[in-house]
This record gives sequence, C-alpha cells and structure tokens, in this order.
Amino acid sequence: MPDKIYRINMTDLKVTNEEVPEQWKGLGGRGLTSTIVAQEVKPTCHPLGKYNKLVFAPGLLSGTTCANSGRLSAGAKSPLTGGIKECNAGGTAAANFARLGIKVLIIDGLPEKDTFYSLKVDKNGVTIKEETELGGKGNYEVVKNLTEKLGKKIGIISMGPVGEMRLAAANISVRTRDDYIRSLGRGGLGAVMGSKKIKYITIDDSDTPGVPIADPKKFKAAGKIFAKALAEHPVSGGALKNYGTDVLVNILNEAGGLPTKNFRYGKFAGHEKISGETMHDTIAGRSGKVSHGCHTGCVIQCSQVYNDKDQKYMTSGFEYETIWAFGADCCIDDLDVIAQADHLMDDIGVDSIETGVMIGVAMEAGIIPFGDGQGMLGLLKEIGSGTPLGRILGCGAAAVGKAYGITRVPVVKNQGIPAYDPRSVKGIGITYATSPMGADHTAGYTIATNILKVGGFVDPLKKEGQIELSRNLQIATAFIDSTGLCIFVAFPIIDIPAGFTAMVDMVNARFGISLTADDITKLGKQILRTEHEFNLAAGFTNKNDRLPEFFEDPVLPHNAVWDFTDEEIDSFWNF
Amino acid sequence: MKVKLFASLREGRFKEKEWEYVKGITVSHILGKLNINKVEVGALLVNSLHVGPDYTLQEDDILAVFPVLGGG
Repeated sequence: MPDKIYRINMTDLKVTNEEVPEQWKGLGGRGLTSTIVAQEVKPTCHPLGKYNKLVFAPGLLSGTTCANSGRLSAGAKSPLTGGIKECNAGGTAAANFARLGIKVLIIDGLPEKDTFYSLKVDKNGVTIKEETELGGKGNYEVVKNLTEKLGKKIGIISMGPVGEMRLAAANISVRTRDDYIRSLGRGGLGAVMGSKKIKYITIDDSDTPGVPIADPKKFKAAGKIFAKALAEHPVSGGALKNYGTDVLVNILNEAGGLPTKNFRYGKFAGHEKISGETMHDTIAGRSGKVSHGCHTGCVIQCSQVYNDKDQKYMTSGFEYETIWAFGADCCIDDLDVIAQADHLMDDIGVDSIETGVMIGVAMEAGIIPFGDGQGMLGLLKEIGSGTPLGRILGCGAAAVGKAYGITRVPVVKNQGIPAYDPRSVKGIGITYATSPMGADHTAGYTIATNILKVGGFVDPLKKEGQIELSRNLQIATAFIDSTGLCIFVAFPIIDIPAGFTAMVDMVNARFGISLTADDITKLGKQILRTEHEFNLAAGFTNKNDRLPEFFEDPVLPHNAVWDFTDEEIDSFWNF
Repeated sequence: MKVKLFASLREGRFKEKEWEYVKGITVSHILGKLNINKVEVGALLVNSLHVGPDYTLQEDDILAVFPVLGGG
C-alpha cells in the first residue's frame, strides 16, 4: 500500500487523504516539512493565524528496523522567530505514523468554536473529536489518562497549558514507550498546536502490515553494517550511554566555552556539581537508569531516568543544554533543582533551552537574583498558571529582554542561544547566525570538530575554516534530519565511512531508488535554500544573520570576541 | 603542574592530581604513566587550549585529558 498524505482542516473539521505527489516521494522528516511549509504557507502570515500549517512527518527510515530511526519532525512558521521552523524528537510517534503508511499529517485552518479537539489516528484514518476532559492539564496527566484508556502501545503527541495559551516558547510533547516525554522543543510549535486547538493526537498502529521495504535483503545487510558502526564508535557506543549529553559540561568549561551568568564568563565555578560525571553517580546511587533509549531501536541510549533522593522518578531525557541553561547560565549548581525544573517544563510544555536562556535574562533584569533556584521554580510555575508575568516569561528570552529594557539578550532571530559561547567556539557562532531556524546548535554542530576532535579539528578560537565547517555540517544535518535518524549517528558516520554508505544504502533499499553521496549533498543544500528563501519571503534579510552586539565584548578565559565581518557571515550562503 | 581526568578516564585513576614537574615532560609521557591508551583520548587541553600529545609542558601548566566524547 503506498504512503498517504492526510490533511486535517480545523476550520471545517474535515479530514482528507491523497496520494503522495512525485516531487515529495523522496522526502521525509525535515526535508518534507520544510518543503510543504515553503510551498503551502504564506510566508508573511501570522504564525497563530488561519494561514499557518502544522506539519508532522516521520523520516525516510522511520518505522523500519534501522537503528536510531525514531525521530519525528514537526514544521510550521515559528511564532518565536517569525521564520520557518523544523524540530524533531524521539518517542514512538514517528514509527507509529510510518507503520500506518502516513507520510505526512498537514493540519491547517483554525476552529471557530472555543473548545479543544483531539485527533485519533489509526488504520481507518484520522478522526477529529471534541475534547472536554483534558483541556488545561499537564502533559504527564494527558499521557497517563490516555494510556490508561487506550493501552501502553499508543503513540501520543500533546501540548501542555503553555501551548493552550499560545505562548512563543511552548513546545509539543511526544510520548516514549515507557510514558516519559520527549519534546519537539524549539521555536514555539506548541503555540501553533494551541492556535489550532488540538490538545493531543493519539496514534494506534495495531493491525498494520509494517513498513514496506523495496529490497529487504539489501536493507538488512546495510542495517547490520550501520548498527555495527554505531556500536563500535566510542561516542555512540560508550560515552553517551554512560554519561548522557551532560558529559559536555566539563569539557566546555575546560575549553572556556561554557556560557556563565547570562554569557558573562566562559567558565562556571560549580561545573563539577552539574557535570555528566556527577549525574552518572547520582543516578546510580538512587536506583535510576544511567542509560535509556527514547525509542525502540535506539542503541545509543543517551537518555537516563533521574530519580530524587527518595528514589522517585523526577525526569528523563535530562540534557546538557537544559542543565547548562539552568546551571551555568543561571548560576544554579544543584542538579536536583534543575531536574525539578526539567520535570515542570515537560509538564507545562515549554522548551527547556528557550526557558533556561530566558531565566538567565530574567535574572539579568533583576526579577530574581542569579543562583536563586527556588525563585526560578516559582517563575516556571507562573508560566504554567499564566499570570501576566508568566505570559511574558513564556514568550522567551527576547520578549523578556524587551519587556525589561536590557541589552544582554542572547538570541538570534529571537531564539535563545544555547550552551556554547560563540566567541570561544567560533564555528557554532556561524551556525547560530546563519541557520534558518535561529540560534540552534543542532543545525550544524561544529562542537564535534571545534572542541571534541571528532571528524578532525578546527581551532575554536580562530576564524579560519569555520564558515566552511558550519556550511558542510548544516548541509549534512539537513539530510540526516530528513531520514528520521538521531543526529548522534553523525559521530560514527563522520569517522566510519562504511557507516555512511550503509545509511545511504538503507534509504535506497527502502524505496528502491539509487541515491549517491552527491545526491545527498544536493538534497541537503536544497532543503537549506528552501528554508532560507521562506525566511527572505517572510521579511528577513542578511541583517538577521547577526549575533547580538554584546558578543563584541571579550569573554574570559581567552578574552575571545565575536569578530566575523558581515561579508564573511554572508559568504555562508555561497553554495 | 596539575593533571585532571574526566569521564571514563577517572575509573581506577583520579579526578585531579598534582604532578611532579620534570623539564621537557610531554603530554604523551604522562598518558603513558597513567596507562591511558592514545585511542581512548579525545581532547587534550593545557590551560584551556587544545594541544597535541607531543606538547611539552611547563611548570605551572594544568593538563586536562578527556576521552572521546559526544553530545549536544
């Protein structure tokens, strides 16, 4: 059975389905969401208005036996940046969609009635229902309620109260197989879901034949080579499993690239207390899980289950960027307090990077002092309950900076700058400046080459080679984001050529096509250009590809400054 | 001179240790003394700057040794 496109019109409350047009057949994940948003969404539309569309797409390899292929992409015009947005997350939903033969779900229009709705997706198609019970509830309660009713195999995509309030830092949650939560985090897509009044989507893939594979023998052989590369590489096969992504705290601190006190310094005195090494020992001492996969088929297992002192569940998917934001950037050197914040943010449904950067700005503004963990938790609760202050905070770092009239506001295209100082890790600064997504480390993760020495080494403190590095990584990432593969497969496939070839072979075997390495580069470039052109049509210019001026001030320990010229930054787009 | 170890390299070794300075001592020499295989090593930093294994250390240097790491 060929894959289908489902269109859900929330104005008429009608569902239609159609065949996949030829030009979309070779696309999945980010490649597909960005292509659809660029083709079908008016670039100048209001992100919360009737012309915006919310698009969900599994990747090209989702639902197959390929390791680490469980990422789901969501796309729309972003309420935070005003540009195009794609974010992706783990959980079960991508595989659920793929097994149902759903290539993409496109939600458009706005309902007239002031009520919430749910979407039920199963082998019979998509049904829209009014939802009267779960409005106002947090994501954990939504997941609990729905799995009790529908069973443990159900896929769930939901929004929390912050999405319902349509605030620009709202995210979308995706259920993992064990009732934890993963987030389609950045860019406020939860607010778009809120504008369309969809509280949740359930996906039941029972009684489906599974994902068809054009050449099963070739697929199986390539899958084995790919899984072997992941298992053999020290990053995907060991480091991430044992220490999680939070292992980065100490190395970024040592390199002077750990933004501290709202990007004032490059080192944090409390780094050891919030490090991956400390997290590992804390989890092990409290009967948590040091390693955990967010979806079936994940062999990297970078996630974990973090318990409190009484060995009760606190959070999972406790990431470096979240821990950096609330830790070093806000000067809170207490992992338990940060874990409480992570839990609360998953529940109310806000992006933990945007919110952490925002709290740093709120501390700068004097709303609470730096280091005030309890004050920080209080502010998060204000966001969840929608007080007037909470609503400003829930719109992200740039909104708070504006409301309080301060200039040290680390954002690009209104999106909070994550966990790596662009002055002392210059390649990532080029990614922040140029990514069509706004400041996004995952878009072209130069940390691998600038700091970790994976895939070569480009000196993080020099300008030479950074633009080319960021460009090459952004092109490759645009392709990987289209496959449904976790971005962490990049570590092994950069270093192990057979792993890269196996990835391409699996895509070819799945669809009976014959992509080459050149085709993949072409596709990556095409996706980036499509996204960039949408942003230009939405009113952006090259002047939006700039970092805030406070990055001209030197940062310790290297006294590094952001010193790329406008012409140098603009040369990124010469491809 | 100080040596700092991180992540898996701490297992059975230490977190941080004063190291007796000997003129001409290289990073490689210290890795050898600590029984750290070069293939395990990701980044080497001296005083917050990346260096190679042949780097010759000075008396007040702080050497940080990281295994191959990833994340993000």
